[in-house]
Amino acid sequence: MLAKFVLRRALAAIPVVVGVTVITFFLMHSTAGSYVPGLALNPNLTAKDVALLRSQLGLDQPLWIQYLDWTGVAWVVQHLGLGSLLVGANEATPGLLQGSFGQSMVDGTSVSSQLFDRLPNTILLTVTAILIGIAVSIPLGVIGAMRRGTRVDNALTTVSVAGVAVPQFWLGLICILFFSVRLHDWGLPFLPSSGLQTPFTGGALLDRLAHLIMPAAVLSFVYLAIWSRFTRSSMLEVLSQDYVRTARAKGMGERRVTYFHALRNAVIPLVTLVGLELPGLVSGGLVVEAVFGWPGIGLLAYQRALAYDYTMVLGIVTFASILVVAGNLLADVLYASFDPRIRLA
Amino acid sequence: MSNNEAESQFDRFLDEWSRRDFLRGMGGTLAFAAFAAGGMEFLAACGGNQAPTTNTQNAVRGGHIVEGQISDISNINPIFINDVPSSLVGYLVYSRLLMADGKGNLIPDLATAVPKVDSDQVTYKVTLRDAKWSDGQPITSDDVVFTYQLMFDPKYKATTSRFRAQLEQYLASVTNPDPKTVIFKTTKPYAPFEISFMNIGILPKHIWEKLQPAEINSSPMNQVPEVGSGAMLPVKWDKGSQYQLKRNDLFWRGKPYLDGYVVKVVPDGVQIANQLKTGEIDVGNPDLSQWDSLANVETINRVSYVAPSFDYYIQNLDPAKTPKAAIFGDVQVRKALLTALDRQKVADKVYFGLAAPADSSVSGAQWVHSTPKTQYPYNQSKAEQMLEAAGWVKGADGIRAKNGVKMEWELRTNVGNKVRETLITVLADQWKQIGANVTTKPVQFPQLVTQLSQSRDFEMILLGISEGLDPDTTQLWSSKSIGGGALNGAAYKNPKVDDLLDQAVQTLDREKRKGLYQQIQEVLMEDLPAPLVTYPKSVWGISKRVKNFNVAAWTGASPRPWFKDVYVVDGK
Amino acid sequence: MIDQLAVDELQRVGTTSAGVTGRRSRSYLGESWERLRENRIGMLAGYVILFLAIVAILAPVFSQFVTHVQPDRQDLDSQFLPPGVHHWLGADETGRDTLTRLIWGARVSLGVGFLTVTMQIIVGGGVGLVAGFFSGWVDNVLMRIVDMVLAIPAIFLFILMAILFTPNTVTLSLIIASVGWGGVARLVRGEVLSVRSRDFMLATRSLGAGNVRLILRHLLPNVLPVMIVAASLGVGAIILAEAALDFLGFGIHPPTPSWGNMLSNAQTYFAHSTWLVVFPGIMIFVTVLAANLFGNAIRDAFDPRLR
Repeated sequence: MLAKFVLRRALAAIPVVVGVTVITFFLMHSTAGSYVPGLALNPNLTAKDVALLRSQLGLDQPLWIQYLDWTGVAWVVQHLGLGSLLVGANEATPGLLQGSFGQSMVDGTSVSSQLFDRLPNTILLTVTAILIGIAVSIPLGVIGAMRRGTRVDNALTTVSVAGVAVPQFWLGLICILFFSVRLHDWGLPFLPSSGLQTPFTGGALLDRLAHLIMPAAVLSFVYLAIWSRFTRSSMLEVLSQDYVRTARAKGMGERRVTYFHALRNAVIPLVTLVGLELPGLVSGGLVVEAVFGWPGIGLLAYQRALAYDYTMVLGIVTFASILVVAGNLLADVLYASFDPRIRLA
Repeated sequence: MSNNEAESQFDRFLDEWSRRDFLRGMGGTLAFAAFAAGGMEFLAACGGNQAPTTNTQNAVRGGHIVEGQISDISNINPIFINDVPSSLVGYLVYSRLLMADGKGNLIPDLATAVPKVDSDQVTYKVTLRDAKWSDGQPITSDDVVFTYQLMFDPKYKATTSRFRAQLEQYLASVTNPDPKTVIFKTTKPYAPFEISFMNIGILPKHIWEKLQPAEINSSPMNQVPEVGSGAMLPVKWDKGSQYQLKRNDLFWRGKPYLDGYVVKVVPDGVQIANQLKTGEIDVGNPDLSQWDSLANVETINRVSYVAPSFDYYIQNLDPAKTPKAAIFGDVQVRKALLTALDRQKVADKVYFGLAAPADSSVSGAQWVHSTPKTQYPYNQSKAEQMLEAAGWVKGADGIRAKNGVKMEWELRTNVGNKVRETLITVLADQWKQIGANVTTKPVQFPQLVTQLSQSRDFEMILLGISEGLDPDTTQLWSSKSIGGGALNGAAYKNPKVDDLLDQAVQTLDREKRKGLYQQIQEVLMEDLPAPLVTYPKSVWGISKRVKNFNVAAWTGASPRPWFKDVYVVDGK
Repeated sequence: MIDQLAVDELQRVGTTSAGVTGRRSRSYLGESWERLRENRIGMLAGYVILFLAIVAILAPVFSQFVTHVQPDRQDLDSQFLPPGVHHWLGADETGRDTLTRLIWGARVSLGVGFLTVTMQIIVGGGVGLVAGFFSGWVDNVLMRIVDMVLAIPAIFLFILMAILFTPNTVTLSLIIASVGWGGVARLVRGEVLSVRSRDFMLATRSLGAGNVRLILRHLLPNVLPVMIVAASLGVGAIILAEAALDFLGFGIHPPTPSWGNMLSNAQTYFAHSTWLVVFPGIMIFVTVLAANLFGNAIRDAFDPRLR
């Protein structure tokens, strides 16, 4: 039964992925059709240069052929000997179906090398932000629940709700201005304002942490508000459960009741919430990456989108979407294996 | 000397001055008095009119500097280079036959001397000096010929060099009779040849010949080559983060003083200013708005100079493309529009004083620059009179109209350049004062380029141009350069200018050439198809621990012939 | 664990145990409204939003009678004037009055917020209703499309679309809505699925009600609370998204003021003209905070579990 369910879900995921490639491809290509990516406004470049470069990048072919080329369908067709079906196509290069994201149109580097070199940076950032989020929202939620209705509770609620009301880029820039520039002006130790590490330090751990802490903290704000409120209400619900009352009645100490029984059970639903964030791991930090010059995937996609680097942007967006679809599929499968009712849905 | 010239020279003088500690005690008034008393001689003596000088008396060996750049390198292979950070690193890693000095004059690099063209006007003979690649192999004429073949030989058609079309047009052959001699033959007399095509970095044949033509486009050696010949050699490229280089002990000019050099990617000009203050970077171009805030930072020197660039607006003169050509078609209207702009105020307020109003169609840093007799100083009432005289009368809504056509249009520029985005709103406002209803719209750069150079589907566009070393402006003003990716978006057609441009490109005599370009400047100031607004300055923040970092008009990002003598006082 | 569905059942009017608590009978919406009224913070937040909306609508009046300038009136000589007599909240880099621009900016920021939310509710709600009601292949196809849209990370979709369109209030709302409708559709569909299976639906249908009547008169009112909650919680996020798009260069451009573009433009001048950053920042903060608090209050009011 489970296997059938998994198969059904996986098959349903395929048209979604195909649909994603179609949407992103045609969105990306529907603007400035004759622009040649990567060419600066050069007063020495002639019209012939531009036209030549355009055709070398394959941009003068009809759009549907470019799509088939990029997805790797053209390669398959040509290798089956049916190349004549693709009127006007150049020699096809390996595409998505063959596992290749192609080359950047701006600098010729391989898209996958850029993607996978920078992916760890984004993961480092978002995972750290999630960890900070968990580490702070659990205590906030517990305190709020324990002191429900008091001023402390209200204050904490206000802080967490307020935390999401500030624009992320603004928060980031304020942090830079304070923790980097002001602290330096006052002669105090200050945090670096951009990048992964200080050049020529060989990537010492403390240095890398110093670079990581600000962007990760800013990014964690987004999670804090939701998770701390959720922990609080989850904790409240658990505390009113029968088994907690039973534990108290049995004479168990209040502290033990809270931390041992209640907390453990209150945190379990939080895991679900955290899990919801995982598919968005790759793209969530774009604004923070832009503010702090953090060389991750989001920033790469943004910069290359501005430069109309078609292949790079399509590669990154497709990759991220596949992760989302795969993540959802995994989550569905996990739920189904725990709860048989879902398999029938 | 006109008032403007005097002011800008005094500015340069002050910049030079503030870098000389011994004169720091004297105040500004004294400085001006000294300047006024000594005039040009004092200026020249203090180096105010020349490129900054190199002093290695107390040079310390060792250490490294970090330079901040707003974008990452993309491709440093000389045959592909197309952006500032890439050419910065490319010029450090690869030597070339010729390069330029701070004032834009050619100086020899791998060549022993700047070649003089033969009497047939098409042959250039270059003699190579003794120099080695970083792996110990000698640099020979084979390497030179190979590099040029990559760019224009049919065998390498699959290699997407951006120089191909031009070289196919102008280069007839490149041959090497012996290991130290290279002979270039152009297809016809072509004045820009040396400066445009003989300053391309040379690639090592013994490394690159192993690759197939198509493989060259995507080789990782395009970003991190194993073998180079310049002052620095690549160590590591952390994508999107930094590019690290180390000293090349085999550099033909001599061992550089620095051990290492990093180009660090910084998000924007404001952050560059911040990081200059905190010391995270040693040199960089801060955003114009941060210039004042860097004034009192003890650890930083500020340097600014007139850059070879200009900001200008292009009026679409083609009635087939836009009905607004009816407005711009009348030269009196074009003159009136320019007269209505208070460009000094714009330079003061929008560029924070770091620009000068333009006075010609080329920047002040070009050697062919002259100030045409016809100028258009700001005069709002005169502008309004001119418009009235041309038949554009104000309607009830305050907007001028003529023959049923209203004086309104859309002014576009590219998103992402704050100065230009502010500039278009200011220009629109100034034109509103004389009865033109101008709306503004920032557009993504690729779309803007397409609108200008392909579809020509626009009304008015404001852009910035970074000039090349050669003064040839066929791409901007010739009737051959309309559409198809060329930059004459206005569709300006003047046979006289076409003729002068053609002649100038084939005139190899420098003085004669200058005369021709001066005539072109005179004509363009009369016709005003795309008037220049300002000459923005280049601004730098340089840490005081860095010496001999002599950026100047033509040696800002690249090339940097002075680089080998850069040192840091603390040797760290 | 208590079965929430069962609890819902007990509270709904029309079930056999209605009125168990002994209270006088009132409609669900009426009761929720009462609960909302009791939430002081929530109501305050609601009034703040209302006030801002009124100010935004009356922007031309303000320009005419209060500040006497238009939002795009430049005066380069007044560049960066600090708050004072002539410019109560200071002037920006081209001498435009900050207070006037804040008021007109409310039009754009709030306009985008409400317009987007409306689009999301209409499209997302519509799709969710249809998908949930008809099931079968209609449901399949619609939900696959929703999956596609939701698979592409929102920020990437924003960027791709923003490059396409010239940003103004309407197109920006379209862009942001095109990302958010998917979530609303899923939410509504879930509600529809649970409501659909209830007895009263079966009863009404057996009385001869047609599809449209069923959807509009019986399904929609029960699904409405979910949609309203989604709407009110969404406004804050949309205003923040607009600000983020301005920062990235894809949003509304000057001279048209929006709080987001005022904020991101002013970042460059933070050091010497801090007020340029503070005021738009406060406006965004207050609005988003109010929207979130009001949204929370509405959700609490509609949530039967809190009785």
